[in-house]
Amino acid sequence: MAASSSASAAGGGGGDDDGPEGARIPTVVLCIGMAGSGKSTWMARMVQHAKAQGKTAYVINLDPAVMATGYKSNVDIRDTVAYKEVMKTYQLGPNGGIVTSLNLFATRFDQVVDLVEKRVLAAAAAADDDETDGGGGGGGGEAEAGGEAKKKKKKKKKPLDYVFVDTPGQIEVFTWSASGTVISEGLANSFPTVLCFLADTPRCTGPQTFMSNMLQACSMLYRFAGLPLVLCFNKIDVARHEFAEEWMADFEAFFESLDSESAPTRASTTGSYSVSLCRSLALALEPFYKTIRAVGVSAVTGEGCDAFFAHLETARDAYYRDYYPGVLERREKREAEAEARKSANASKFDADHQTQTSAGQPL
Amino acid sequence: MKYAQLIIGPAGVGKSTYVREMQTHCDSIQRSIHCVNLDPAAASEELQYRTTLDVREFVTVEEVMEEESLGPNGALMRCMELLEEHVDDFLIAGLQECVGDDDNSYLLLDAPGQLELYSHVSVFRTITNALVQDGYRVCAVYLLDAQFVAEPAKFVAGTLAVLSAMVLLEIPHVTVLSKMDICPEPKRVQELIGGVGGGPDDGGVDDVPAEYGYGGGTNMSLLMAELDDATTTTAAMRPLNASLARLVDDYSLVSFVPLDISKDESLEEVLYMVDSSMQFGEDSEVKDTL
Repeated sequence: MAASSSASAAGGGGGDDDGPEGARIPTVVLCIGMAGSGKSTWMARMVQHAKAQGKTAYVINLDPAVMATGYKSNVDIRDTVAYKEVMKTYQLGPNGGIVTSLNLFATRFDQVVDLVEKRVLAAAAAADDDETDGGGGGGGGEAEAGGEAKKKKKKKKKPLDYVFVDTPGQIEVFTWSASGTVISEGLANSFPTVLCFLADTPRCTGPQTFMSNMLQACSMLYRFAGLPLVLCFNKIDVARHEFAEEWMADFEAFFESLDSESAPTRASTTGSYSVSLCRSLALALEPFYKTIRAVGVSAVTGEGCDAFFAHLETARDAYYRDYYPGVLERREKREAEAEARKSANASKFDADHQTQTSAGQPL
Repeated sequence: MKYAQLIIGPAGVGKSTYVREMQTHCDSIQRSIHCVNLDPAAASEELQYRTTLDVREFVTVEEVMEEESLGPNGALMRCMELLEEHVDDFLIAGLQECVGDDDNSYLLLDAPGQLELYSHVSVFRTITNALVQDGYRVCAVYLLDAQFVAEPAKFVAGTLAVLSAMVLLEIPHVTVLSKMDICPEPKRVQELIGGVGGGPDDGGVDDVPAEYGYGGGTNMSLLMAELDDATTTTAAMRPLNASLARLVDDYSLVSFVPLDISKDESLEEVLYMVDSSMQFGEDSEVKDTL
């Protein structure tokens, strides 16, 4: 039975990945990129690839304005918020509509996280049932799981391996808004989260646009407070990405392209300013290039998927190594604060209560 | 010489509000400016200022969405492509007609908020080049929401976003931190941008004269030291922190001006910064206003 075999495989491999509840915790892949960089197509490709590998994927779409996605999503912002209605109700333009829709959705995002968490726990429970039954099929487990899980029994039994999240087409809606912070932190505090930044390779071929793109990617690294980043050069079926790898590995090569590109076309004064800026930036980004996980992929042909998923695993490890301690620290701090508030409130209540009863006694 | 401010920045950062307030401010100091809307997606209710020229007379997102059955995003990109193709016939010719060839004419160009317009495609490059050829000095005013730069990491993210536009546009840049009036931690932002006023009163925005204050660049090294200690900073990021700090500090590449839209003095500061980066008025005759 496919469900039990994949469950035991995940259980066996997930020794160090086991969360506090003993469930296999899925990797969240937060897919961001400029409009037109092929996010939705790449989402569809990732889902397909994961399924082909026998992995299970949970898909969340956060783009309220998308017309058709090439994938089926488990949670879709369009089911919750009607983007056109938002535009009408609040008298907004298309852009404002997207921002507001996402804001509205973000207020309920804790419920989405809960949903995913429940799904993870249900899978763990199902896996436990399977294990107590031995390999003998789901007969006993089915009865024990009861009516609630009966309908989605087959689905629920498979533990999740990945949660793919698609973000709105305009990158700034997600990266420069409060809702983006709420959503990304909500996910990152509960699950190992990896940023997948898509660069549009055919549009990076000029040294200046390349630099501009790398700055954007680097900006994401800071914006999302050190979440591990996988940089995908998408559309390598249209333009190969080897030039980018060369530029990242060797700044001399980048300088050469920069000089040859700018010399004939531009006026000398303006050209030299930008060229020298690009040079300095290239040098400054050197440490970024060294640490970044970069991979060339094609959403259309599926090239580079294996390398990408391998990077996801190392990024997941990086999350546990670098980011997770911070999460625990913040969680402890929050709990301590809540505890302090609680005891403060309790003592205040006691004091109030006492004054009230002592004042009330004579009456 | 003619002058133009190109107002750019992410969606919702207050670009149109900036233009409106700047217009009101310039009205009150009796300075003539012309506002141009370059956002084909702006809803008509949104525009709160008088426009000399409006890109929506040329093309709107709704039209393109219907005619070419594109989504809102694709339609906007298409609109900007059209604008790029027709920059001479629409923008430059339109400006010739409405503004004329007066010396010292001053434009405010209100751009759409999609970041990829500044980092992926050449449309604004083409527009600024066309303006420069027509005799304009152009300065980019990059607006960032102050509350999104109140943390060191986010501050760096913002700086990098600004740099990525600078690389492509190749024009002088002034970065304005908008919404200082509703920013929950104005002091913190002041500290990060290196313009610590230390004045006794609240905002501190108008405490520091521009010559000494925020014009001089940021406290990058200080900032990075703080970043290195932050819990969210991973070991791998430290060398990057250091090299970025060096870059920004050494070249004083990015300077920030806080903007409290509710204060006239604050608007004046911003205007002064932008003017001096374009050398506005330096070659004009001294006017006798008596």
